Amino acid sequence: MAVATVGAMTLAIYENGEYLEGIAVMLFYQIGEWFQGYAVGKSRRNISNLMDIRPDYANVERNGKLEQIDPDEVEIGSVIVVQPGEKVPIDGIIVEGTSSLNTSALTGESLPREVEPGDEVISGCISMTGVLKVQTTKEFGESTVSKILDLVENASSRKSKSEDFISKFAKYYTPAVCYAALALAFLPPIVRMLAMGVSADWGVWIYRALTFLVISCPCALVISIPLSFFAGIGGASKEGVLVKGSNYLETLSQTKYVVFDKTGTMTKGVFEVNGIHHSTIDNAMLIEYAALAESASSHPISKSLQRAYGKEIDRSRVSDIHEISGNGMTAKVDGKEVAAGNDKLMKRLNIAYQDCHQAGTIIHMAINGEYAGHIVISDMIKPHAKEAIAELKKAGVEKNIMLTGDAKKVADQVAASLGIDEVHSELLPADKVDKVEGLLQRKPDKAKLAFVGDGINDAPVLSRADIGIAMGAMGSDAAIEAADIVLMDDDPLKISKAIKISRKCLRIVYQNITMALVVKFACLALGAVGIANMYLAIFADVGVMIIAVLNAIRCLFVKKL
Amino acid sequence: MKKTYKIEVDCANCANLMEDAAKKTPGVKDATVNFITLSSDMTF
Repeated sequence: MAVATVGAMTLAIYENGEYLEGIAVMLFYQIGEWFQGYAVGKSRRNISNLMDIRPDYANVERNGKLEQIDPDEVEIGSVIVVQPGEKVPIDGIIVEGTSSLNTSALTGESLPREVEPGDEVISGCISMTGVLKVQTTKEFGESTVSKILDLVENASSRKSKSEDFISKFAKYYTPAVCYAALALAFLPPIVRMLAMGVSADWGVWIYRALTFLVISCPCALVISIPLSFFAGIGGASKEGVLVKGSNYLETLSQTKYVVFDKTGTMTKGVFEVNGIHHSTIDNAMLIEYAALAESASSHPISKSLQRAYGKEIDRSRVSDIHEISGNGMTAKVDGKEVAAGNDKLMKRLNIAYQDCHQAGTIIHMAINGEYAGHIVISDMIKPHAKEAIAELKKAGVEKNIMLTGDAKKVADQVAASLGIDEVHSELLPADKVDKVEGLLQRKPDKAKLAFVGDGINDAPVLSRADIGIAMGAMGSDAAIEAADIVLMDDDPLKISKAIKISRKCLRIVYQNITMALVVKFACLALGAVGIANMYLAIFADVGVMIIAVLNAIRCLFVKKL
Repeated sequence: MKKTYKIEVDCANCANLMEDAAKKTPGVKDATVNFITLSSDMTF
């Protein structure tokens, strides 16, 4: 720019004393630079404000009064007070009080979470209705909100392939255009003088060279591309999707295959009573007997029966409890002999039982030696799981694949009800890695494969896939460590949202690259042959840059996706 | 040892040049200059 200005002034003096163009160049350039600084600064602040979830103070009871102190000063194990409307400043466990928690700052989820004493709360949530006394389990710097902010701030330092390309491009491009400008300034006049015998016309060609130089500045690309990714990452975190690097956002947009873990990802991971069949007595009574018979057991299946019963277990009604491991329980309930267990138990007691066509764990019930029906217990599919798979197809995913260690029947049933393309069941953890390896080899290079799991025990597969997505990471450090993308709540719908966000971001990046290059080269060509003047040159540089920056901001608006 | 500094850069191109220069400086194991967040991470 300096060269261009000096050049314009010199030309003006040399040619006809008209300083206008030189002044115009300087003026417009300054305005342009100011605009650029303003636009980029505003974008930065916009994005930072989006992530302004950091709590600024913590309330501690001292000498009977509530004192506001720096959250950094709160030691682990101290009790802090969170009043209605305030953010929870540090991770901890509730010791007193109940409230409704607004977790939208972390998950983008507007549905409030009810909490009571004994529940874990994480920093960043807003307590809406009640006063809470929380005993802290971590320091401020190690609390969830601080970790998330660190993650997002550092995410833009992990450069994507597009950004690397632009950096390399700029390295070669800038010297190239400088030489080209020099060539433009000196070669044609020399050729004209020596070879063609006409006047050199230095002025014209130097002017064109200067115009060329102004147009060629790669500012638009170099600023807007990283800004787009920054905005994309910021917008995603507002929705509860934490992306750990710009490169991951890029790879996510190219995802065509999604591999799911079943338990905990597509299903709740909690056993619940799903059906009662062939019951000879009232269904509710069957559950009651089952719950009472199983009341002494802490097996997840017993727990689910007790939950289905729902009422207080009156232990006095139950006696003579025998647990036969691997088979079930027998007990005396209300004076009746009750047996609850699997087919092995029924065989042992010589009671004819009815098999079930439905997949799941079957608890056969026998009362006083007679078959009374069976209860089906299975892992509940998450409410949005089916919708999530449909949305993924809409978002451009070609194949959805599910891996599980569960039985084939259960796996096939779940897959069929969700609309999953491929199922592999009865896999050991090592088999899962092998399966993913196989899938990776079979797919085309450009189509990326994402693995979605609940983070904790899926670490090897998460690292092997092109993109590792961990779900339900609220407070789980292990998941945040292992995965490339972390979904803060356990809603499978967020997977498709993440992919849509990444595609939008990449779309905008390519738009900017194309627009910048096309406009620049067009103006360069025009400048070289003399149709363009300085004003057009400045537009081609600064104007294009501002358009690119404004376009980059669009990456922030992901709420409606 | 890792340290993060707050920096002022107006031009993304310059930020890249700074990053390259920092990487070449003796004693610096790795450096990143982030134009967007106006910060720089250095590992010594």
